[in-house]
Amino acid sequence: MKMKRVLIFLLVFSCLGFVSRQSFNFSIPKGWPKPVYNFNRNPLNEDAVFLGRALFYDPILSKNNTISCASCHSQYNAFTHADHALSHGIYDSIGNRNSPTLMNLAWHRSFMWDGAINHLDMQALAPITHPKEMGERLDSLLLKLNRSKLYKSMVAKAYGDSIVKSEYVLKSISQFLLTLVSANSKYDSVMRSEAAFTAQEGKGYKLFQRHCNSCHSEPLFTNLAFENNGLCMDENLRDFGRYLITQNPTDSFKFKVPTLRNIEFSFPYMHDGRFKTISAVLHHYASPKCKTSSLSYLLKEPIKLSKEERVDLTAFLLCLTDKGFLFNENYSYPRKMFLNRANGY
Amino acid sequence: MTSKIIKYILQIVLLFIAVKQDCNAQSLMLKMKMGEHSLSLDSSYEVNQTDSIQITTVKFYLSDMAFWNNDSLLYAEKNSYHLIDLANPKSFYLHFDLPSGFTYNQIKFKLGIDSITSVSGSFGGDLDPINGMYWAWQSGYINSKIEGFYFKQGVKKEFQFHLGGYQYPFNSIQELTFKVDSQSSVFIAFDLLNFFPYLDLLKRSHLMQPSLDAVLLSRYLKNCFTVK
Repeated sequence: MKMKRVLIFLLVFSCLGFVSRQSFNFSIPKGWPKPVYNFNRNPLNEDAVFLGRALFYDPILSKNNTISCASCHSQYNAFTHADHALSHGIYDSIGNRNSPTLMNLAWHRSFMWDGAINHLDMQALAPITHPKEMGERLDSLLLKLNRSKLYKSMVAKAYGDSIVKSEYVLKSISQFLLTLVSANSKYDSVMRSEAAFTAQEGKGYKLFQRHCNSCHSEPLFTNLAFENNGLCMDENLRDFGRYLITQNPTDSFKFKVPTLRNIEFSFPYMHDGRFKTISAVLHHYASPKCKTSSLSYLLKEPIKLSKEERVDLTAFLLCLTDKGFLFNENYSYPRKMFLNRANGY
Repeated sequence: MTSKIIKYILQIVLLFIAVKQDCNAQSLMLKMKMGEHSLSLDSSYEVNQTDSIQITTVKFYLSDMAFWNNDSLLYAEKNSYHLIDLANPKSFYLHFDLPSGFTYNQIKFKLGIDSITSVSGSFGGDLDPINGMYWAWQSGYINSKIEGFYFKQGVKKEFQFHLGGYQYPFNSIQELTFKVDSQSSVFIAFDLLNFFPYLDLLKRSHLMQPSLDAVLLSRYLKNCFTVK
């Protein structure tokens, strides 16, 4: 009888050995909707998450090994570009847009300000191959990665394959990005009844619910839709937003509604980073300058707030800062790994 | 005890045998043509007395291969994505393991990649973006690529058609259905000459994004296929 149990155990264990690695526990914060990302096609495991993290921080992704994803998506800025209105990439090229924040991406249906990318797995291809971002070719990148002992061993560990393939690269970057969940701000603690807003923050929350929540909907603080918020087009950039993808005139000047989570650290704001402060953003919504026909119907009436109300609303917005996210060591530069490589591993 | 172990092993072996069915290997071959001539890279083809065309790239996806008998589906290939590349003659041969003992009289397939696959993320094999058939800047497969040079009365002009788009109103995938008489040797003929009569290459020589024109040109490309 005992032998039978041992046999069954061995049989099950040997089967599992081929398919199951150390799985990564992705938990959905309480009260949040179901993620959009199909985890069945790319089940998270610790090794692939780590591989994705290494790739995210490695300038090997760019043509001349100078630009990494983190160059424009730094953790302490909620994974956007510190202090740059327009992101800059390889050979000091200046791009057309402000790099978006990276968090809670498992809930997103599309990516980029205009929704050009339809799946998280395919997102990394765009900056890798863009001549103003990383300027690399996918085949050259795979050649480089296949020459690296380190990446070959990481791919072997994560996927059991001796060759680095684009599918592994793309899915691993997704895996790392999927782990970037920000759901532990003061706001979240209040929602879980573990903390309370101050009177000012509470007033700000009420104002937020009345004026902002339709587009920056809780709990993601974005409805993930494309909206025209009445910004005037920059004559140099001539960015028509979502229209560039759908070629539908009603989509002109629409951009994906960004999350407000960690807004304290994700400045500058808007698709072209034109506003440096929250106060400048609130000033814009008090009197949107360009009311074209595609303007969001929710902004037909400007959001007029008194000086006191603006301070209250700002106090609430600062409750969306998630220090546990901004300083989470699991998201940061994998120093030890890169140090090992520098030492010839 | 020992007999129980043998029983377990037998059960597992039987399971493997049960899964393996009798199969009938079936091949389809693509014949790449340019009118009367066989289509090859860098050769010149006369369109009329003064003009000629030189082809540098022909790549397209055939997908969802299915074998029918009148109205009943006999076999649909799983994960059916085939990148046909003029530069890679191996890609002209398609092999299928059909269940034995049925006769089909119709084959159906699509020219391009369907919308569900297009929004399902990263794949390997023929769908690997390394094949150069994926738009990185705006997600979606390039269903077909036709590139080359046009010589009009001695003037050389380059043309590049990258046809794709999976979203309404720019869904450019094409469905093809063909009657088949014999099952022994089936050829899918692709005659690129049928693509050009509709085009004014001097007016428009580039197309590289989903658009109504890409849908139209995809229909022209569909007309290049016949099955014998």
